[in-house]
Amino acid sequence: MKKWSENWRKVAAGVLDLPKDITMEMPRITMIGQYQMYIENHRGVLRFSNQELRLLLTKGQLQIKGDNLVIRAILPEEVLVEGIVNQVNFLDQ
Amino acid sequence: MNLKRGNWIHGYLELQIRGKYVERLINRMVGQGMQVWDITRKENEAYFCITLDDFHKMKPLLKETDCRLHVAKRVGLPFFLKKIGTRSLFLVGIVLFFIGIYFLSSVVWRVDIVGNEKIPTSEIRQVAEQIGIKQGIFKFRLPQVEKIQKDLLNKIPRASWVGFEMKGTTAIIKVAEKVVPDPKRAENKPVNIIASKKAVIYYIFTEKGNQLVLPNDVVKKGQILISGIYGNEENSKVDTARGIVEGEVWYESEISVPLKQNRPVLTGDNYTEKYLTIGNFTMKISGFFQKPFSHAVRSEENSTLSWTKSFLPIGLKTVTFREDAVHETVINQQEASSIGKKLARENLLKGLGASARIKEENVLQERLENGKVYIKIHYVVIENIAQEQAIDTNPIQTPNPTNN
Repeated sequence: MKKWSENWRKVAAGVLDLPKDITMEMPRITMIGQYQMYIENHRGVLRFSNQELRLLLTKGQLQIKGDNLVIRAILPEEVLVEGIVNQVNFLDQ
Repeated sequence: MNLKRGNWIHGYLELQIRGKYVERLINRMVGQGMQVWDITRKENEAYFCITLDDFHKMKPLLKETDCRLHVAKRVGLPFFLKKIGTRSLFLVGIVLFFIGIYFLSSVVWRVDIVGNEKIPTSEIRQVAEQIGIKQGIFKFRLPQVEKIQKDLLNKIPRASWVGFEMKGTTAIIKVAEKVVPDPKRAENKPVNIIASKKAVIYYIFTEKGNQLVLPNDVVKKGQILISGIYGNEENSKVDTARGIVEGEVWYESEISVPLKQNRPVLTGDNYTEKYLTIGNFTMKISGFFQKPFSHAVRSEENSTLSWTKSFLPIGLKTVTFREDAVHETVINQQEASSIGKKLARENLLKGLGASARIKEENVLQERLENGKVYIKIHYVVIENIAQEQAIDTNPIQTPNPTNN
């Protein structure tokens, strides 16, 4: 059943030319150099420290590695991170 | 992105959180719609800011996630007001400051006197002080404006009107002086008006007296134009004669203009010297290695340090030298004659009264001789020829038009 709805969404996104972050509930990530990162459509904070921020996504996790990371602001579906970002990884879990 | 953050007026807190599940606490808070910002982490402590209103909603969440809270910093107006409450002297200071400003601005700091020309300012100032308008008194102790104006007017007899106005901390006294009529004109001394020059009458207007000549009459110097004696020989009255008489007067002037003209011209070369002045002592501080020009125009500029209108004796003097050379130019006869005419006209009018004007100008002669242009010009000038002459009243003389 779940698979069927996912397929249907994929078709809709292709036919109607809708952005994937809306139809597929995927994160939309905006980065300004290394210094600022703005993530939409996250599902919560899993781990946060100076060097790492791990966010839960609809599918999998997002791992941000860097130095002096600060969460400037956080809303239920949005995060604004500042600091020096070295790596952005998508983890399947 | 619309990320609201706490503001200073409502107040916010910086919290230090210790616990295992800080991330879960944050998720729960965000899920409940609280504002959380500036989250940092140091080892097992987390710091973040929340608004003052959200603080009380946190308690159940803390229990749930097993975290401990410590308030690290309080920011905003509510805390500031609390602080002020404990430091009441500070508040007293603020109030005293405003009271001080109010008092200082209700003092008359300056008295300006405008509009007086003949009455000395010091005299008006003295009178104003008698009434009570002086530096350093409070505005609300001044009497009513109407009363001040009346008193001032009574005490300054030479003023026809006195106005008083407060502009901020400045009191302005406006004075309008009485116009005293010309004593010379007021006197009714017996005079005739006679011609000051040989002329042809161009215009005559008799204000008072017995007019003896008409326009286009030729008059000689000293001839009576308007007589101060009225009536016939048996029944006559002596009074002052008054009027305007303009006559056409002829003049002849000769002038010579050389064709070679020497004109001083600035070459554009210049240098400046600077001096430091302390009182009467001057010291050169720049412009040492300059070769002085043989001919130069020198201009000086002084500037002194000033500190609220009182001058300090320290200043800077700048002396500029501009080289100037004599330039010889040769002009043609036409140019020379036009220069000559202009000069002659200026010379003529300089010696005559303000109302004089040239009616006609004829060149009688113009010749070139020894590199110079000689011009002889005849002018017809209209000017005031009226002149007062006192009448010797005893014995009475009859006007005698045949004395020219």
